[in-house]
Amino acid sequence: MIMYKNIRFFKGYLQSFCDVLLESLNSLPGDARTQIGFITYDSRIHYYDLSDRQNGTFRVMIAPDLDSKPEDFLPMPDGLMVTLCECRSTVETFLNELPKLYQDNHETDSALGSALQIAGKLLGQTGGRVTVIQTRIPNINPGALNEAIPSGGQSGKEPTTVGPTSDYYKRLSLDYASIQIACDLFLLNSHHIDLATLSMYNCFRRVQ
Amino acid sequence: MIVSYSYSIILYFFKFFLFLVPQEFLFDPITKTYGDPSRRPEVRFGTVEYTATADYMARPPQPAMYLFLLDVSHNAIQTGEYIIEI
Repeated sequence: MIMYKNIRFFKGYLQSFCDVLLESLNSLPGDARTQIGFITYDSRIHYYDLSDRQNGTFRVMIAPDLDSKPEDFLPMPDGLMVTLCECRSTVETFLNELPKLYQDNHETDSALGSALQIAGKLLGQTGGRVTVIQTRIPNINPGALNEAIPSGGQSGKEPTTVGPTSDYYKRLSLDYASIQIACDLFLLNSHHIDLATLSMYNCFRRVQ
Repeated sequence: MIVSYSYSIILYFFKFFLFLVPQEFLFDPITKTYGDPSRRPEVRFGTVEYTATADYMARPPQPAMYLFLLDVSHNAIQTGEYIIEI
């Protein structure tokens, strides 16, 4: 008979992502100056201020509406990227709390384009590495992609062209390369996600 | 891994061997010994990093910056529902 000591239920990638990152914080390459930051997004952009060292708590800031162009400015000058060894406890609290924050989230949209521009602004001075985890096709401008699977015209044939449909991500990638930002894209989609276009995002990267 | 080169020549070996590879190639910078060229790091490892001097830098080395962009839409909660039993 097999005895199960410990049964753990995971719901959503967010939980496992946070667990794994929590375990591997020590093995992130870099010296004592290593900085870490998080931005999450659905139809809005959520920023996290992790700089509170006294209480070990973090603040969430939400850019409510993308018409006001949140990519043009950052809500605070510092605190979005924190030195890992100084704010270690805050980062750990954050990773423990993050899956609980969004477990009842019913937003289905995704503003990837804006979030990427904000990431570029955040890392513009130093360069760095942007790790993106995306679960659906981005559907909010800028960078919205067509959700319909391209069909081969009227006759209902198989799609004939599998090429990028927008050069938004290509331009973003070239901008990133010029300011020393490397980018990783992880896709966890269950539906059509237009990989041909999204992958342009890390075609042109130049690793620092 | 830091690789440094030494250009000193061991004349002793010249008495006995005919070298077909450049002299520097026989030096193993990790163990600081001369000998078999197959011990060299670029032969043994897939990647080798060279220390870049200031001549090759546009600016001083920056801190390592990690920024994570996470999709937290409804899909993110639905994707990857699983159970681990230990």
